[in-house]
Amino acid sequence: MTKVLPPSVVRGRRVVFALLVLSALVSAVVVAALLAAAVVALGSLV
Amino acid sequence: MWWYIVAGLTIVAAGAVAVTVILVLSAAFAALAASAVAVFTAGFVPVAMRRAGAVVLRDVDQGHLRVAPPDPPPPGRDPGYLSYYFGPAWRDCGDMLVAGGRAAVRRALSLRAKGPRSVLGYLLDAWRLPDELNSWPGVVGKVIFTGGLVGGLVGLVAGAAVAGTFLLVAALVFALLLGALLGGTWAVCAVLHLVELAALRVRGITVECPSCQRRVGVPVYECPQCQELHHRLLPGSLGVLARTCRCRAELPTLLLRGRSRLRAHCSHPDCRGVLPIGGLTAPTHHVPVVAGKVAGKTVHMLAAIADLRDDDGFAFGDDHTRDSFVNVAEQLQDLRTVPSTLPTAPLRAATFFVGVGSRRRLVYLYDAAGEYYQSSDKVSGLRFLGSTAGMLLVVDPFSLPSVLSRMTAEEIELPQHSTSPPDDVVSRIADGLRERDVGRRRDRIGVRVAVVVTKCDVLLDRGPVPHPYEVRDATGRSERSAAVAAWLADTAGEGGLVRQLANQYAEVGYFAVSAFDAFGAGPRRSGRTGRELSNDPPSAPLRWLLRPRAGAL
Ligand SMILES: Nc1nc2c(ncn2[C@@H]2O[C@H](COP(=O)(O)OP(=O)(O)OP(=O)(O)O)[C@@H](O)[C@H]2O)c(=O)[nH]1
Ligand SMILES: [Mg+2]
Ligand SMILES: [Zn+2]
Ligand SMILES: [Zn+2]
Repeated sequence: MTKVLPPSVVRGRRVVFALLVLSALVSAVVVAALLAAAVVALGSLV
Repeated sequence: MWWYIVAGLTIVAAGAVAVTVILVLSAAFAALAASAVAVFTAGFVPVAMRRAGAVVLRDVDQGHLRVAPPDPPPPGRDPGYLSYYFGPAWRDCGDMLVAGGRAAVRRALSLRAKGPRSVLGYLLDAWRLPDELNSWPGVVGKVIFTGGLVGGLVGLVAGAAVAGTFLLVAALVFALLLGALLGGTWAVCAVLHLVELAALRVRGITVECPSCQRRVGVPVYECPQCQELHHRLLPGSLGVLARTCRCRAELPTLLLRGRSRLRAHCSHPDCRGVLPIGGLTAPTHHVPVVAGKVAGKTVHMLAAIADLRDDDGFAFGDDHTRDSFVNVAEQLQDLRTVPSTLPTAPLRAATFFVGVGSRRRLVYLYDAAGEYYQSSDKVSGLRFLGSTAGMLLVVDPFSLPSVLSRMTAEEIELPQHSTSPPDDVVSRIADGLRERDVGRRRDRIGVRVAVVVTKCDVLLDRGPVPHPYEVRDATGRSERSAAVAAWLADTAGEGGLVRQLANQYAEVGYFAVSAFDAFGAGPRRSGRTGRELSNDPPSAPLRWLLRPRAGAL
C-alpha cells in the first residue's frame, strides 16, 4: 500500500536530507584532516 | 674441494636473492593491495549511504514513516498527518544509517556465493589464483599473493577505520543538527501558541458557545473538505503553521493565518454546538433580551438586527443566525405573524459581528421565551447570565397597569401585549446575575441595562397616554434617557422600577422604540397633538450597550 506523502512531509524530508548532506560534508572534512595529521605524524616518525 | 664451497655459496646467494626478490615483490604487492582496498572500502561508505538514501527518501509513504493518521484515530490524536520533524525524520535517518551501513559491510566482507562479490571475496579469490599453477612457480606465486592478501586485509581494516570514523562523525554532526532543528521547531510551536494566547488575553477575546453558553478554550475545528473534527488545531506535532488533514486539505493552525475562518464547534463533548465563524477575532458581547411573555422581545430583536444590517462591518456569525434573519423584512411586514418563542425550543444565541477595526464585536443576542423569566428557578438555569455584559430590558407599556387601564378605559385598540409587569422580571434577573457572580462596579451589578419601551408607535398614534418624547422635549441621548425614565415614573406609575434599576445596576439607559422604525426611523406625526417627533431607532439600545467603557458617563 504505497501512497504519495503529503507535500509538507516531502518538504520536511528535503530539509532533513540537506542536513544529512551537510553533516556528510563536515564529516569528510574532519576525516581528511585526521588522515593528513596521521600522514604527517608517520612522516616525522620515519 | 673449494669449488664445492663456491658452488654452495653461489646457490645460497642466488637463493637469498630470489627469496628477497620474492619477499620484496610480495611486500610491494601487499602495499599496493592495502592502499587500493583501503581507498575502495572507505569510498564505498558514501556510495552505499547515497544509495540507501535514494531508497529511503523516495516521495512515497512506505509505511515505515507512519505519518498517516490511524483510522479511527486513538483518543487524543487528531486526524492529521504527523509533521515530518516530529518522529518520522528520526525514523528515516535511522533507516538510512542501518541500510547504508549494512550495504557497506556486505560489500566489504560478505563471503556469500550469491550476490555481488565483496572486497574480501575478491582478495581471497586473488589469493587462490596461484593454486592453479604447480611445482615451484606455484609456491613462489603463493608467497607473493599471500603478501597481497595480508596487505589487502590491512587495507580493509584501515579503510573500515576511515569509513567508520566518517560515519561516526557524520552521525554525530547530523544528530546535533537534527536535534537543533527539532528543538527549534518545538520552541517555535510553543512560542507561536503562547503569543496567540497572549494576544487574545490582552485584547480580552474569548469565545462562548451559542448553544450551551459555556466558554470554549480551544474550539474543535471542522475540516472544510472532509468534515472530520480536529480537537487541537494548534502549532504542534501535526504541523507548525499548517497541518494536513486525513483528506489532505491543509488547515492553518494560527488564527492569523485563517484558522478562524474554519467552521468551529463547542469543545464540550456533550454539546458540540456550532460556534460563530470568525470567533476569536473580536471580543464577545453577550446581551440577553429580557421581558415577560408577549412583551415584544422577538420583534425588538428582529427590528434591531434589521436596523443594524446595513452598517459597515455587520456580518452574521453563523448559518443558524443567517437563516433566521435573512428575511427580517418579511417577518416584520406584519408583526402579528411573528410566532411566539417556544420555551421548549433549544435556546441558541443569535450571533453577529458589528463595528469595524478595534471596535469590532461579536454580539450574542439571547431571545429566551418569556416563560424563562417567570420563575426564579428558570432564571437560575440561564447560563448566559454569567457572561452578560449588557441587557436589553424590554418594557411593554401595555403591561403597566396604569397605562393599560387608561387605554382600556377609552377602548383604544391595542396590539397583543404582555400581562406580566416588569418589576418581577427585573428582581429575578438581578438575583440571577448575582448568583452567577457577574462583576460589580461601584457596589452595583456591573452590567449595562438598556430599558426599551416598545410599541411606542401606538402611544404616538392614539389613546390618552402621551408618548415619552411628547411629555418632555428631548434631543441628546442623556435628555432622551431622562425623558423616558421620567415618563415611566410619572406617566406610567413605575417610579419603583426606575429607582430599583438605578440602585441595582451600574449604568441604565432608557429608550422609546417601535418596531415599525426597523427600516428607517423618520419623524412621525402625533395623532394626539399633531407634533412631529421620532422614536429612538430600534438599534439604538444595542449600540448604546456596545459603546466602549471609556465613553461612558
Ligand atoms: N404595534 C406594535 N406592536 C408590537 C411591537 N413589538 C411587538 N408588538 C406586538 O407584540 C407581539 C408580541 O411580540 P413578540 O416579540 O413575539 O413577544 P415576545 O416577547 O417575543 O414573546 P414570547 O416569545 O412569547 O416570550 C407581536 O405579535 C406584536 O403584535 C411594536 O413595536 N409595535
Ligand atoms: Mg419571542
Ligand atoms: Zn456548547
Ligand atoms: Zn479533511
